[in-house]
Amino acid sequence: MIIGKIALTGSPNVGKSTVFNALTGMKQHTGNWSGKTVGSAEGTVKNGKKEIKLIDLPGTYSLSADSAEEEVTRNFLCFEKFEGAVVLCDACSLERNLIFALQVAQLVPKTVLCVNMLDDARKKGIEIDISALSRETGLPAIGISAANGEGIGELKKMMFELAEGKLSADFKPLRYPKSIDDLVSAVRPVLEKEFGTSGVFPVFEISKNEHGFVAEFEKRFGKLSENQNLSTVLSGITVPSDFPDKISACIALRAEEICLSAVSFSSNKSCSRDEKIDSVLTGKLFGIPVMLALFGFIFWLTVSGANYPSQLLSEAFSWVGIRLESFLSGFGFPPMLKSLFIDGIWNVLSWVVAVMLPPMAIFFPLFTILEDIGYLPRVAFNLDRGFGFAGACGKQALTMCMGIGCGAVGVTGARIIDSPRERLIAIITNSFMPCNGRLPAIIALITMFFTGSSVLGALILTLAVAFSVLMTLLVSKILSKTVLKGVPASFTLELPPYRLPKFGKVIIRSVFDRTLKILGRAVLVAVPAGIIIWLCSNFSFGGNTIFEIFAAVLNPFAKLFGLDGNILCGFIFSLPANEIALPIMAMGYSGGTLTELGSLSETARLFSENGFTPVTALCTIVFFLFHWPCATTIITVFKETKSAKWVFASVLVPLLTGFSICFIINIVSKLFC
Amino acid sequence: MENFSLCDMKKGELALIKEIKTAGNLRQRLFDLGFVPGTKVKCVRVSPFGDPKAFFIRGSVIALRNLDSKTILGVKEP
Repeated sequence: MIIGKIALTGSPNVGKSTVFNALTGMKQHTGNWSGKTVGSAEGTVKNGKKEIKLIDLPGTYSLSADSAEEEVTRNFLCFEKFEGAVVLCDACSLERNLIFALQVAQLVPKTVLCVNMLDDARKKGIEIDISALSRETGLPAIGISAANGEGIGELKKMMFELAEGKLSADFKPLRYPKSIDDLVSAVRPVLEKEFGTSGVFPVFEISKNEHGFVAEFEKRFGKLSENQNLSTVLSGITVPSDFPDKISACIALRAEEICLSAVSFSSNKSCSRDEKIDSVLTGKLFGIPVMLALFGFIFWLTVSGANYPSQLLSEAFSWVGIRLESFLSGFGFPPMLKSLFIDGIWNVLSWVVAVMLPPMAIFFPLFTILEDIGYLPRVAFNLDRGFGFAGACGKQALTMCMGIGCGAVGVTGARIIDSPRERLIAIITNSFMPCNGRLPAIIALITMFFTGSSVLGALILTLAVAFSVLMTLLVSKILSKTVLKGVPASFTLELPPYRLPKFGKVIIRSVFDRTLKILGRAVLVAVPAGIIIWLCSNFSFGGNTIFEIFAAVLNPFAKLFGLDGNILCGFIFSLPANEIALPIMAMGYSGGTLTELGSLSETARLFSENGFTPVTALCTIVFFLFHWPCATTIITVFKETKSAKWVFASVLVPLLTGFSICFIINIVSKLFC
Repeated sequence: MENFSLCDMKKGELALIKEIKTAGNLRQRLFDLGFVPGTKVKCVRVSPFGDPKAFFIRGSVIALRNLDSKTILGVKEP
């Protein structure tokens, strides 16, 4: 039985997703940087037969500034029906968090203050006096350490009391200067009587004539100006010009005051620890080299670690494949169907799993560790100058990092960028980052055609990704000088404290939640793709298979860019998932009849026999970096931009980039060879 | 005492915020992050290219582009 609805809010990076997961038993992805959760999620908290619906609102610093996430949070808190709110605060930066908490409490009187990461704070020599906090604010308060599960039980209990109306919250109103107090006491009763709103916040927003809020308000309650009583009251008062400043200052000073009695510092150890770490990681001398080395190291672990398991997997698959074949023969399966099953479905499937799974299973956990430590905002901090130069937002570095995981996630993540112009730039250039569907394919090509050494391989891969970053900046610059003209908007970026990740959790979470999910999608696509490719390479018109005809038509065009018709076919057929591009190319070269597709050396020989040179390999790698986003990402771009024009741009921009670079490589190589 | 912009602060320097001259959306955002007159602020990080700079304020570290922190005036912390 559902007994109520409770909103979970808080500033970014206070561990909201961790708390949400701990309360609901769900598996929302978490990370140590602001803006990880961009949409609002819903879950259920159970206590025996009773249930609470918990709404996880996107993290925001305030209710008043305008960004997509803030609007979601503000509109929910202002206009939805719910039993109460839990404001999550980070114990390490309680003062800043209280500014937001006080804003929420002014709007939702039934608010619980929940101070998270008490253990982290204690390590830093910060002690929080929860009862003093509760006394000073008049709100029920609780301290927890969600990552260890400490205090989750009590928080749950409190939430049920809140939902059942058993928890008393007696918020001590803020003291404002008289001019503001007069205004509030004049407008508030009218708003409450005429429109049924509560709290001080709507009074402020309407008095300020804040457009977004007024529009939303009128959508739900009708035109403000048509309400006689309100108009009379509003015309009778003057809103001071420094009204918003004064309110903000009052709230900030009140937060400071509360902290004076609730927070004590015994030392300032770990602030200086973070400062020391950052003086290397974001320092003038080492910031950029260490960043390159770190990514290079991760790529090296991925390349070298993936080799052996890849080989094992492909041997295992071919062992099973051979048995499967003789098993099917024994049953008297028609040779045609048997070939479809083994050469089509089984081979593509085994290629996808053997070549894709090991790098993903190594890369994702490593990357998640970087994410959890809190390094990604430092990347954005280091590279921001470049994005400023390109007329883009420094937070684009974060969406690019997400893009290395999965393009669709990167596109959705672009919501953290407030300016619509800069968000579009981030979305259009997002596919420049090689996602986890393309990264293993690029690694495979490097291993097959450039070097067997994992160190060199990792170096080449790092250079390739660095090149992608440079191209992202260049194309962003071109976009902001042409179709998306404008100057960079201002933004703020929080550098969260470093946190030690929970290694066990990271591995389990990234393997099961991310790797297997993405691989699952690839396998789902691989089966029908295997069938189609097999059909295309086994049915012929006038002596040529469909695939051959298709490849022959594309061939002259593809040759201009150092590719061939077969490669281009592979890219086109792999629109649903980039993971299947290489196996399709291999199928095309072998005429759909090969049985030993798994091993890289076999594939390399097959490719070489069909005229694949190092230059072809280079062009193919470049084309992997820059072609079009996969179907899932394209759909996501449409969902995010709601515009066919920008979907078109996000396909065309990388495609033109890829064609141009490949064309240049092709010409240059012709001149020198 | 002489006013200076936050963008001119060097790493490790302390200041007291005197005035926020910032316009537009950023103004409200700064207030919400606790950048209000009278607040103590310390410049704690400078990006490898000198821009942006990050400031320790009210318990958290916030990075601002120089173009933006230029509009925040401070005085030397006594």
